[in-house]
Amino acid sequence: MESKKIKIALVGNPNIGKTTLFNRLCGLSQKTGNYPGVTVDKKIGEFTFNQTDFEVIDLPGINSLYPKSKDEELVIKYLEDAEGDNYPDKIVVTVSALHLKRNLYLFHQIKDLEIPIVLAINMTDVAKKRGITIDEQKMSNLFKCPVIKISAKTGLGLNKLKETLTQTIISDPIEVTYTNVFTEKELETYKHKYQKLSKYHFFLSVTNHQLNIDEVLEQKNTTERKLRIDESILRYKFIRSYFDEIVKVDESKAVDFTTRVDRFLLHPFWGYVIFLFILFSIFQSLFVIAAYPMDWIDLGVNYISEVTKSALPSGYLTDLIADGIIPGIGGVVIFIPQLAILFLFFSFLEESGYMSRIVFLMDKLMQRFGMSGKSIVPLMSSFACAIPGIMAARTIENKKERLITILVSPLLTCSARLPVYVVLISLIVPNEYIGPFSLQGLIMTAMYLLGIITALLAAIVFKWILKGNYKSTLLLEMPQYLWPNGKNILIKIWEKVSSFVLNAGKIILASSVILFVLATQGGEDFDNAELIVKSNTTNAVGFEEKVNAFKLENSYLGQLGRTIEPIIRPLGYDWKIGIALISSLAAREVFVSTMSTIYSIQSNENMTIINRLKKEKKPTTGKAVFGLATSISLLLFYAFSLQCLSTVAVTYKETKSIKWTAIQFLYMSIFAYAVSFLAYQFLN
Amino acid sequence: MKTRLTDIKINTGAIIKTIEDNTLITKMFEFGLLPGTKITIINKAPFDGPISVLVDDSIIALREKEAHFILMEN
Repeated sequence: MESKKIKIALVGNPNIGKTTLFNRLCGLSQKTGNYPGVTVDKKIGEFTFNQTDFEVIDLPGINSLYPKSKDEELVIKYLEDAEGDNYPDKIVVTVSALHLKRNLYLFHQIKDLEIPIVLAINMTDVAKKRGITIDEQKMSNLFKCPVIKISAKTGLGLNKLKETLTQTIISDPIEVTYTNVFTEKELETYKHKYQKLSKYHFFLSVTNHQLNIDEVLEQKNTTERKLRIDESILRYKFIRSYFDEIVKVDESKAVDFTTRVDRFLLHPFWGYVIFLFILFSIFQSLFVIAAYPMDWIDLGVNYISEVTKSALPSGYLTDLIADGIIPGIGGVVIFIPQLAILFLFFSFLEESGYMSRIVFLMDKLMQRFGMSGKSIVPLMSSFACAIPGIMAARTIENKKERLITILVSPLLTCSARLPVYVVLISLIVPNEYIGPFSLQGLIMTAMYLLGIITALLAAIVFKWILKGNYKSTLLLEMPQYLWPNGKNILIKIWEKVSSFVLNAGKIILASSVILFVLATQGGEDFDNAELIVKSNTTNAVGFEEKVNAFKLENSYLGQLGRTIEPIIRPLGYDWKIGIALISSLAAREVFVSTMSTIYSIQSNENMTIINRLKKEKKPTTGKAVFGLATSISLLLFYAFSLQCLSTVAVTYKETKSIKWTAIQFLYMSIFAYAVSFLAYQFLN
Repeated sequence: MKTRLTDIKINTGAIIKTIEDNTLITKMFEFGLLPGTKITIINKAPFDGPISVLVDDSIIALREKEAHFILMEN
């Protein structure tokens, strides 16, 4: 019989190394799911210690038990729901030794919920270096619960933590320190009256406006708000009453390092220079470094497809695998280098503590565009993918700022656009260098800038349309600088890349197979292709290719492309590009795999997609199909249109508004069409 | 003359006297910005951008608009 797993919840403030601890405990045996109804990541992992099985749930970082954002609401709901499936048997509250006073505030709130609790003081190794010494024995006596010093980074104290979790935790309530309006006895009576788990559960349900006891409050001459304010003051008073006894801080040493670095990184001039330099380095390395593995993948996929073709008996199924499925998978795999580099940079910025400095630097500027400094994080994530970007907008408290951030996020150059850009830029820009910079890289940077500028302009328009006088505020903690944990970064990259490959992979693979089938089936003309071509041509040279071209044109896919050709001709696209546009409505990156599927069906030669497109000529004029005008028009179309079903879905999920989801889709599509139209007409 | 947080120069410490009522007051308290607390201004972003202050062992950033509500001892 399987013994019951002990459920552990990890709770703590943001940026205190809670995730490092989670990764340390569970390694790779973790999975990310979703909480019902909201798109907050729910991370659950497992580990075994001394024959005891544990299930660990890593809750989002919170600052207090008064919800201000969706994340916080969720944690609080979770901790209040004793009947819930995942209700913890034990709680580990993680605090940072570097921010002890502030983190203890949350600890005391959780402690008062009277669930068996262990206090884990993280980063004790760094704290020691920065002149902080902590007496955990005194703390344990005072708080009446186990207190363990750990370093999630080095693994210090983890065995002790695990051992403590295996045993029965002795944690007793301490005296009420959060209110002087209610006596302990009164709280006890109310707890029973309203059937709450603890006195503090009752208190919270009053201050969080879930329980209405207006008469009592009136009689006591107080309000929910006053109770909350008093709670903060009283709790800090309590913390201060013992703090100096348990912690010895060499004040000057403790925060000296961070403030000194801040003087430089937040400098009114150099701070911005550094920020721009970091952005520029990210984009350059995306293009320059990622280009090599991407070339290998492209060539490798061609090779595998060729080998498959020769190894398997020829037939429809072999063609489906070699020309449909393999290039389809290749279209997903080719993303991995760029995604990995992007997430490497982002997790480095986040882990080191620099991300919140960007919020600080950009707040004033972002307000001009109707957003807040906090919009920077979602916007920067959108360079990787708009989906995590839009989800990250959840931390913005102000509704208007949040909506604007969501609406403009997909205009930023996401990684799905990169393969499309790479192909199109290679077609029109020579592979040359200006000094140390690749010319193609510079054009790529220009495309990024175009995305940024358009997003900001769109934000101004929305700021002007959405009048509303929501009060906008900003109050955030800037964590101390820390050298990022390599293992954390690797796990994060692995997590993001694999979830992207799985999700995008499904869409791309399915559409590749559908495309292949549609491209290799057709009506009467398709079936009689050889006869028709024979009767129309006298020249035997290139006969097979002509048959293939005729077949493609008359396949179901070709018919579909030709149907929409009149709409897209003013933009400079032929029916083949039309097919790619239709198929990439689901996801932009499908463009490249569609193009390679279309052209590998048509031709028997194996070559890379770029060479294939370069060779493509217009049947009427003999000019290159992917000339300057068409390529630029396509670049612009992909820069502005919202060709990503997942983004549409996540916008709806996050805004819960069909209206704004539709507005986002329409404004981007119409703008994309108009700009591409103008560009083609002007350049042609 | 009331001294406000916004009047304090970079690199100087001061003690919070009171905080005038505002929408963020509960959050300010939760972040440890309480009357009687000693704080130090660390950075000010240009063009009247946010201000970062050292409160106990944490660095907190807030906008000038909100810093205005915080009154300091002279």
